[in-house]
Amino acid sequence: MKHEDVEKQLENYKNKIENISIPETLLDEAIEKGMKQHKESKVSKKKHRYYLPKWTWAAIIFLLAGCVWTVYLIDPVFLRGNPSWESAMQNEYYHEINYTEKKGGINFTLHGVMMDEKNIVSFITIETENKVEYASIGKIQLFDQDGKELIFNGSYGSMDDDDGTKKRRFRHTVDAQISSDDMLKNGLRIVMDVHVQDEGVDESVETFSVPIEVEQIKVAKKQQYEVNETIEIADQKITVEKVVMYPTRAEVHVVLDSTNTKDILDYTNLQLEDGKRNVWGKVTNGVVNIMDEKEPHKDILYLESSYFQVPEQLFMTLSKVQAVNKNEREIIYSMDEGKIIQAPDNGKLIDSVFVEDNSLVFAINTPSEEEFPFGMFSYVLDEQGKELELYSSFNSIRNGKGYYGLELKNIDTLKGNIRIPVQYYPTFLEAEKEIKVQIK
Amino acid sequence: MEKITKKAIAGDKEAFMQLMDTVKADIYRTALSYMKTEELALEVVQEVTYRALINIHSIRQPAYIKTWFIRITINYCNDLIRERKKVLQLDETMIPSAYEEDFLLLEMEELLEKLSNQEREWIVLKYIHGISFKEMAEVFRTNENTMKTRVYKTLDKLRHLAKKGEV
Repeated sequence: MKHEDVEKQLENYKNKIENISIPETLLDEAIEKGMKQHKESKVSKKKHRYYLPKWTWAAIIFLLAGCVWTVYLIDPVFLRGNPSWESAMQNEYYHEINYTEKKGGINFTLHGVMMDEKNIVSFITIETENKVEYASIGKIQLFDQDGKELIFNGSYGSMDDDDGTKKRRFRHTVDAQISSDDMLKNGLRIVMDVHVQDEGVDESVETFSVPIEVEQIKVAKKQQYEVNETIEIADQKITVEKVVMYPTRAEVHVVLDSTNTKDILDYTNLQLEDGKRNVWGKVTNGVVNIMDEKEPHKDILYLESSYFQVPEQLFMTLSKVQAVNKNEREIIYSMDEGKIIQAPDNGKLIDSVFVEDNSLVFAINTPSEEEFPFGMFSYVLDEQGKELELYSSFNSIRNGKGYYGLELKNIDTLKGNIRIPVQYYPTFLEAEKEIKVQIK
Repeated sequence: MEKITKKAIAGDKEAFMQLMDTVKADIYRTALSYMKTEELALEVVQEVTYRALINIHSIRQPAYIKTWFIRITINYCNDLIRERKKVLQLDETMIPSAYEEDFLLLEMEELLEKLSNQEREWIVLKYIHGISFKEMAEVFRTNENTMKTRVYKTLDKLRHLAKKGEV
């Protein structure tokens, strides 16, 4: 083929392709099979995209499950998947604020808050004039009545399914935990940036500032149980220090032994129970665990709260954790050679790695989406440890395999080894029998 | 066509069938050019029908429905090729072609396979399906000039590859 003829040859190629005969009957059969496949499929395996806000390193998952039938002061969709919030609402720990402000085509409403000595949960709706791809909450700041900025850990959850359709209304929860218990005694101001994204238009950002008059709010007192018991799971020692019960969540404070060979990423089936078949499991809506960067051997795990049920006895049970070797907490990938240099469990679960649509994608053999409903990555570092600009991280299940992707800025020009810390990874440790610790 | 598309987006199955009827030949031919055998091309048509049904509600530009179907087809073909290479350890050129006597087709396909998935998609959309630069720019969320540059650069690459093949 003469090189100058390529365009002409493409034209010929097109004509040839157009002349290929079409097996009409077989084609119609294939279409019918596809329609039947759709009808029979109970679960659509669509792409889930999680937008991780920059201001938090807390691990978050958005699993919107279950329904709430009670009529409340706010849209029940806000309480889905979080029985503790539902109980707090029933026990009148929800304080209506109904602050509304319209700015730059964005109608912002903070419906109300739930507060205890440490946490403030805000329920927010963002409405736009036209349907847009996404309206999210970015930077969040908290100030006391003197204008001093408060330090907090937090997460935000989107209450609407990211199904790829454009919408006019976006519902969010912001869950902030303030470091010091007494900071909520004063007046508060929540300041947050709202980002609106739509195709073909530059992202717009507006800042909203909401005053919260704390003295008018019913603030719940915590219940604290000292435990100090060490448990062992596959030779990894974990000391349960205490359990603190707030209306909106229970905190299990654990300390990991310095001799442990593994980093524990998730406490798979951790729950509280009262011995009478009542159980309080993981929250599926909001923060699920916090690791303090200054004290990496300490962990705070969040569970649903039994605060309002006040059981006579309370136990903590656990038999399975997600863990990786301490020196394998990140995947190191060579952009030059296109190969994995290091990965948890020697990369045994990684099937392939490829670049697609500006994303670096890892195809990984994972358990089902129900057993492993996590994204694996939330940030990427270059060789020097500098954080690379990450547009989004996502995961999807296709053909029975998990694809975990990182959409990176200028992926084609990235050089050297990049480091991708794993937040979750499907390698597990199991105890021979269930571990049970008495809390109360 | 746009009226039927809008109905299909709204969940009308009858309209979806009509839509499939208008695009099925394009889907099949695209699948055949990627997968080479009738059997695999039909498998692609089935999966594309399924994927389209799941995602049709998310279509934002009904006017670009054909491009949307072709892109689903190409994405699934790329998935399938990747899976098959992995499972069968086969070089794709070893798979018998449905039109293996036609050297022109084979020669062009061999060249197209040397492009990246993205580059091949641009060429297929532009030169096989005649999609305008304007539409491609909107679909790939860029401006028309950038789209043109990308396509022409890919064309240069094809020229270069063709020239290399002559030596």
